[in-house]
Amino acid sequence: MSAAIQLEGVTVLRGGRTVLADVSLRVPAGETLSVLGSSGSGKTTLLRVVAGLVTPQLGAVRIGEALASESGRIVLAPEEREIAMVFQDLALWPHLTVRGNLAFGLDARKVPRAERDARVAAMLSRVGLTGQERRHPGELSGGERQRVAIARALVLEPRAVLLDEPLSNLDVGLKQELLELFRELLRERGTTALYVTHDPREAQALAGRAAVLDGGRIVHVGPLEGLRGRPDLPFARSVVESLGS
Amino acid sequence: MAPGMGRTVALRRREEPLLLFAAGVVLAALALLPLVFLGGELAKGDALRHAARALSAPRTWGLFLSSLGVASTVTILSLAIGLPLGALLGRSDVPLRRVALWLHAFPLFVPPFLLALGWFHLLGRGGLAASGIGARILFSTPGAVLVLALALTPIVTSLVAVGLQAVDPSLEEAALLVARPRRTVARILLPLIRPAIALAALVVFSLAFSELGVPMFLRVAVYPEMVFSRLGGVDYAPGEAFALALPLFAVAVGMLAFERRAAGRRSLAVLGLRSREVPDLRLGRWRPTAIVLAAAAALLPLAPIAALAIGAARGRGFAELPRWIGSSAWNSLFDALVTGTLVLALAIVIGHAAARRRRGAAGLDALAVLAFVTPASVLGVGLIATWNRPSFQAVYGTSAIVVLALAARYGAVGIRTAAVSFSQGSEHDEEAAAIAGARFLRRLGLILVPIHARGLAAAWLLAVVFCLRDLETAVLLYPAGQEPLTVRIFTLEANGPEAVVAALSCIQVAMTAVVLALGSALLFRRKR
Repeated sequence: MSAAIQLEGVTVLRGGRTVLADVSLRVPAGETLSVLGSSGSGKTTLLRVVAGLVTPQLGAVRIGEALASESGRIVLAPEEREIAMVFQDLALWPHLTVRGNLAFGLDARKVPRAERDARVAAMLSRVGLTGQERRHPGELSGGERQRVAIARALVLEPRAVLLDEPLSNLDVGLKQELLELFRELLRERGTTALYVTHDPREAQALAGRAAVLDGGRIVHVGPLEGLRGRPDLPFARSVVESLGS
Repeated sequence: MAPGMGRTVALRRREEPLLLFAAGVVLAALALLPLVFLGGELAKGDALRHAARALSAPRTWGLFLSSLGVASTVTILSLAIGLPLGALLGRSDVPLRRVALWLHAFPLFVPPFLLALGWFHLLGRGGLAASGIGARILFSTPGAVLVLALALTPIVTSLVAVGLQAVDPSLEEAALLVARPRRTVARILLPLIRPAIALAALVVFSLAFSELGVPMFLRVAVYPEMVFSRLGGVDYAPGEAFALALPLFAVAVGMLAFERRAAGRRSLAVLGLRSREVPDLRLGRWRPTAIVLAAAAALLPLAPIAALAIGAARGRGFAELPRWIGSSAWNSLFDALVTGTLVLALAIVIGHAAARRRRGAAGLDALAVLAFVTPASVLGVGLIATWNRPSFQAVYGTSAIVVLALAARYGAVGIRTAAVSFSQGSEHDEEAAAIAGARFLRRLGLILVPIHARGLAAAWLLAVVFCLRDLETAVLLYPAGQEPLTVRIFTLEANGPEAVVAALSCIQVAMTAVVLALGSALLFRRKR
């Protein structure tokens, strides 16, 4: 299967510290891959490299067939990569309504008005937010804001969606409900996704494979069960403990 | 527990509200009392008859409307130039944009009439680029508007640039993933900093409306000059001055209402806690044009200052300085440093209370803003009404009156800067100290002030620099023989030697530059 996202020997240095070290990763089209790791392991930087928000000092990033970043330079600007992202703090624009948040990217891509309105309405209906179009993010509950964030990402029909711990700080019930919604939405659209989390159960619920980062290096790619054979990794031990026997 | 001890504990528990009350009393004495006494003057004797006569003259309202027109045009021009420039110098990939922003912003800290003087040395008769049309335009209403717009645009540019740098990076990145930088700036970033833009517009309007030096130098009649002339010289009529101040005060109240509605507390809001650096916005093929614009923005405002220096050097003005400068530079510095320190004390207490939304703080913040937007001539007239009494000569006859006036006028600058700093810090810092048993004064001294030392130093520095550049407030109140340098230059400008006036102006600029450089070195010192 062709790769939707490919990283080849990506290294990111910041202030003399190596944030990502020689990371290579291939995410086939349509797959959801979890990215697991402890705090400071480089998970968010990995997503930002893919999005084009961080330039790797070494290595290359390919989106589909196209070279997107290469050793110290951005070849494809973020807006040219057709990638969407759900941020950890959601980053909903507070001055725009729910509808405005969804329509912004479509307007930027010059989608005709009728099509834009239809896509926004369909997406809001799909995430259960019909009737909330005119409300501002500040007027929504936590769960509703999460739905707007995923709807804003998917309404663009992106080549891939990057999710940066979007469910942290939610209660267990809501987390389960939204995890189910994410899974359905990604599956029905066949969207490639990179899902960053530090919760192994979340990772297992959403994706068949996981990439585990430790100190900026990928130490494992594959089913999480495979970590049972890596007692040498401190993070792996906590993952195995979380997954139970 | 002994009764006395109980009282002490109760007092300690109320340290914060008591301190806020004390700061409120000082601020009210500085800013509210003069306005109350101004009203009182109108109730005396035949003051109402004077008021009716002054306010019924057609020239009064013609001048009033024309002044409103000048201030509005200056504001619109400043916004038109400052908004795109702020985005360019605040967030784009123009090389050396921070240096360009500093150079562009510097004239903001110079009295605008000095810049008018500089433009005269450049374009006026005998100027470096003298031409008939240049001089005609300069000495006209459009000329005054242009000089003021160039002098005040850095307020918009700086507030927009700082505002853009404070926007939560993820809000910007979310837009950059789907839209080009230009659309991101126009549709996401600028709307997000609307309160900062509104605040910039208000500050520009109030300073332009209050401005006395530029219109008087360029022979353009404005309303505040009417009030000024009634307080000295051949038109001396203090009763009329009190009456003429009323429409200016009405405008100030209108500006306060606008500020409460459009900016208010939101101008303190932390638009986002910047947790990481965002790459500069790419300008693509517009970059060469943007570089030219940024260079022009950096160098154009410096042109009049350079012209002053050349004018002073050519006419041997610097050699004559010792004969003319007297103690005016020291007076300026003394007044500014004392006022800055007084403002800082008020700013720590009121700024903290405003940031934490303590009861009464919003009212005190509004009072400080009202004093700032109130034209200096109104505040000055009120201060004269309050303090010009035989029993208060220890205040009115000394530099103390200038310090009080400057603290009233520029208190808001310090209070707002401190409030922004406190807003950006986590409330948990002080909550943790309170849980650990620290009372308010202890929390203030050992936790809040050290954590916010830079923000508070910035509040002090801004207050000092605003006082240094002041002419309008000091010119009404300075005691004999203790005039600050701005007043010295302003009074000599009419009939003193041109080269000496230019040299004195250079000293004013150099003094401000040194204070700013020392303050900035302190502010941007690397944290250990």
